[in-house]
Formats: sequence, C-alpha cells, structure tokens
Amino acid sequence: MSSLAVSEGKTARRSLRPSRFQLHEVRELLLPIAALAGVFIWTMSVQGNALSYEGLNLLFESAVPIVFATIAQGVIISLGDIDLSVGYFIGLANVIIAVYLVQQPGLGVLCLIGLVLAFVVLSVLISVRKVPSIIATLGASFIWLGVGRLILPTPGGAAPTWLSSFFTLNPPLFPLPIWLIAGGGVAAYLILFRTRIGILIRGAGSNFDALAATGQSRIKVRALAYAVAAVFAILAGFAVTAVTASGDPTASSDYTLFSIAGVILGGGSFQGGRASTVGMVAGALVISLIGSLLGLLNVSSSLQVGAQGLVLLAVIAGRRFWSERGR
Amino acid sequence: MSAVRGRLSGASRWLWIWSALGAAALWVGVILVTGRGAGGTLVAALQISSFLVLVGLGQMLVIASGNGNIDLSIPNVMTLSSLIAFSVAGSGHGSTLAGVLLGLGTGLAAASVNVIAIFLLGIPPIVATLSVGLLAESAVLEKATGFNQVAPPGLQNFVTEQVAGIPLFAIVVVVVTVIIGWVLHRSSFGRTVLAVGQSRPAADRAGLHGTAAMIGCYLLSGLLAAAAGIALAAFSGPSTSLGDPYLLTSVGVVVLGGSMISGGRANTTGIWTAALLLNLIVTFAYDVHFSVAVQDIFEGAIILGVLSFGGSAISG
Repeated sequence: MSSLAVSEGKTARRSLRPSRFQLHEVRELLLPIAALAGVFIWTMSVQGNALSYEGLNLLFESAVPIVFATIAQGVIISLGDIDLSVGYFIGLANVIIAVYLVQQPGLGVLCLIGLVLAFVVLSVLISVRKVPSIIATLGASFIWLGVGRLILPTPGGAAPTWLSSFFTLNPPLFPLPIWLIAGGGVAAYLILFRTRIGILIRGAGSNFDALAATGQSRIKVRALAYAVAAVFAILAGFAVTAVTASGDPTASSDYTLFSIAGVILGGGSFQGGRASTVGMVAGALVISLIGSLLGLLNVSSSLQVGAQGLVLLAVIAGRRFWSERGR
Repeated sequence: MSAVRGRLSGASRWLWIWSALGAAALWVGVILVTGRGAGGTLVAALQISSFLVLVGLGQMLVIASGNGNIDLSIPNVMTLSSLIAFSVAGSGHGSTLAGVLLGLGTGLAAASVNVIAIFLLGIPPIVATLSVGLLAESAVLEKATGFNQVAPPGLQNFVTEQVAGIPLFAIVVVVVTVIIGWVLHRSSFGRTVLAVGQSRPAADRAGLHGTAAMIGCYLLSGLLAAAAGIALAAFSGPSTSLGDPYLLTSVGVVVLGGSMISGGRANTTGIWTAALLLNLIVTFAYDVHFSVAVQDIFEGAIILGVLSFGGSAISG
C-alpha cells in the first residue's frame, strides 16, 4: 500500500508515484498476465485463425466494454468503495446512445452528461449521509434500470452511423478493439498515476481520514472519482452499442460481476488504495476471453454461465495463494 | 468519540421506525387508491412479505457477521432449490416431504460451496457468492429444460392456508423471526456472530470461534433461501427467474430494517417492517398503474430516500 503523505514536498510526491522496480508489484502482475497468456494460447489452439487480423478483431471486440467497465469499477474500488450498479449504468448509457444519440444527438449528449452528474450526486449522497456505497449503488441500479426501461421498454434502437463506421475502421498493426483497449488502459494509467485527481483518489483509498486531515474534502475526492468512473462506464456503453448495434437496458447486467472480478483478478483490493491499470486490463481480458473460449469449445449455453463462475473462483483463489506465497 | 458512537447507534436502533412509518403510509395510500378493505390489503402484504422476510433473515445473519460478508447467491439458490424440490415432489407424484428435504439440502449444498470459496480459498464474499450464484444459475438452466412440474397440492395448501384470516405461512415466518431473534441475542452462537461482526480481532482475542459462526450464518442463509424459494414457487408457480428480484431486496430489507451493513448489529423486527415497505411500494405502484419501469425507479428512489434519512446511522 502506498504511504500517504499529501504535501507539496518533493519526497512526499515521489512516494505516491509508482516505484518502477518493486519486486512484489511485478509479482502481483505476473498472475493476471500469465492467465491472459494461457487463455489466449488455449484459444489459438482451438481456433487457429483467431491470430489473423480479422480473428483478433472478433476475439477482442466483445472485450472492449468489459475492459472499460473494469476500469470504471477499478477507480471506485481503489477509492475503497464498490459499484454494484455499473452493469445497469452501462445498460442505461447503451439505451441513451441507441435511441437519443441516433434520433436527437443534442438531447443524447445532454442525457449522457446528466448521467455523469447523476452518478456524482450519488457520490455526494454517499459522502454526506455516510451511506455505504454497496447499498447506495444497489439502490441506484434500480433507478438506472427503470430509466432505461422507460426510454426503451423492449430492446431496439440502433448504433449511430458514425459509431458503427468508426468500429469498422481497420487501423495498422492491430485491429481497432486492441487499440481501444490499449488506449483505455493508458488513459486510466495517466488519470490514476499522473494527475492530482488520481493521487487524491488512491490516497483516499489508502486512508480517507488521513487525506481528510490534510484538508482535502471527502465529498470532492469521491465526486471526482465517481465522475471519472462514470465517463469510463459511458465509454463501455458506446462499445456495447457498437458491438450489438442496438439498445437493451438489461443486456449489460453481467458487467457488474465481470468488472469486480476483473479488478480483483488484476490485483485490486476491496480495502482500496491499490490499483494497477495493467492488472485491471489483463484481468478484464482474461474474463472476456474465457467467455469466448467456452463458446469455441462448444460448451452448451446453459453450462457456460456456471463454467464462467467456476473459472472466476479458480483464478481468484489462485491469485490469493500466489500473492500469499510472495509475502 | 464514544458519546457520538452511542448516539449514532441509538439512532440506528430506531431506524426501523422509518420503514414502519413508510409502510403504514403506503398501506393507507393503497386503500385510498383502490378502495379495497384495510384488512385485505394488510393480509395480502403479509403473505407476499413473508417470503422476503425469510431470505432477509438469512442475509441479515450473514451481514451481521461483518468482515465484508454478504450472500449474493440467494436469488439463484432460491430458484434452484424450488426446481429440485418440485422435480421430486411436483404435481403430487413423489413424496412432498422428500422433495422439500431435497430442496433444503440443495440450499445447504450451495451454501457449503460459498463457505469453501470464502473460508478455504479466501475469495472475497462478494465475488465468491456472485460466482456461486452463476454456478446455481447454470444448474437452473440445465434443470429447467423440459421442466413441467407444478407445485404439490399439499405444499400449495400450506402456503395459501389462512388461520383466523391471517396467512398461516406468515405466522410460521413470524415464529422463525422470533427464534432467530432469540438465537442472535441470547445464544452463544448469536453473540459470537455479533461480536465477530463488531470486531474480528477482539472476538479472536476473547477466544470466540469467529469463523465457525460466520460459516453457520452462510449455511443458515442458504437453508432459509431454499425454504423461501420452495414456498414462493408453491405460491406463485415455478419459474427460472423466481429469485431474481431478491438480490436487491434481500440486502435492502436488512439495511432499511436498521441492521448495520458493516455488521455487528442486527434487527429482526426491522426485517418485517422493511419487507412490508418494499412490498407495499410494489403494490402501490401497481395500483396506480405505474409501468414496470416507473416501479423500478420508485423502488430505487425510496431505498435511497430512506438511506439518506438514516444513512449515518447505518454505517455506524
């Protein structure tokens, strides 16, 4: 855990920066990356042409929303909170994009800004009334779902044309999904580790009281973190809309579990204060690729859900034994 | 500091009054909107709430043991147990008792997987129980293909029977509530649960078997979820989405009822008032012809509203 000393002194600043060659941090990252390599190689052995440009495109397309959802969850978890509403939040963003952004772009943009503000308001409620985030977000998830159903009672709508044509781009070297995932990871890294906001968020996760003692407002820090998370969740909503070419308020509900599992798999801790963007992205990719792999292995759709649960249990148990041995 | 803490815990102890007042207001609202009798409305609310109270009690025990414990496998465990019970006892063929016992055993088995994942493998309870929920969901989907059983008549009579105008099943659940309240506050198991929920290190130093108490809570939660699932399926018919609404509401009744989400304090009376509140919200929203969407928003808003009234008392 990073020591907390938020002052303008140079040494204090450096202690909050990630130190580059700390053995246990490298070790923490080995497991998600090894798991990712393992799942990837297994997928290749089942479906040889998955390594082609088009194959990689298909394989990583469905991973984009999971990666962005995991980053959103990671920001909240590094604060020491948890967001049980991220799945329905993405679902609501998906519906707004598929309905309003197509028909009335101006209104759509306003709605998306309103969505970020609503999440910030929720964070203020959590701070001011000291409501635990787990139950506040559980309650809020009903509001996201309800509003989503209000806008779009049955699945429908379409992806805005600019969004679907953007997703058909074929950039050099790697297919678009890989660039998007890398871009999301770099953006999250820059925000969490290279800006003042990120330092405050991670500091708050380490020790909220100590941070408050330095004169930082809890309300402000939490509001900033929730705003950052909401933006990443909305980006996940864009990805869902592009991939599915439609809106559905309930289709994204699984992302809540996937995002939490991705963060924990990537080395995050429910105690907060710890975050590794590489870990989060790798964790999210493992979870997404396992889903694709189960499909390729012809596991029946009713058993896929359970197999995913089993793999989550195995990998997260493995990560715990791994980090304990390292201590 | 201790004075502040004392004041807060005092406030939290009476938080259930808020949900009781809310439930009473909605009760009056439903009577005014529909013109139905006051007694009939209350009886219907008692009947529907009793299923939620049963799962809420299990969730309350788990949450009371603190340390991040929460059981998010409840919805799928409810559904799976009811399908297993009905596949043996359904439609009045096989023995109803054998079916019910097998269903309850399913709940215990699922809870045991939770226990192994959390205490043997060291997986955080949120992730562990959600993953076990996925396992149970798979079993539900497998079991449901070609499933055409209906409730055994004996069981159906049991959950719809009324004694002196009061639903028999609600009376049974009141008795269960009283027993759990007694166990929690008077037995050594219950006191260990609350002690370990308040402070794990303190409970350990006092020589209490904290882990055993937590395991007991998960097993009881699985058992109660199975019982509620079987009863609910007998009442409203089996379905693969039987337990789905109970993910939010099982946690909701614990918090709205004045138990502390961080553990260490539990309130069994509050589970009843909160369950009545949540069910009367749905009844009211239905009676004033809100769409499903508005019902969701209404439910979420009321939960957040009550939380912001008593919020600082909940986190302790």
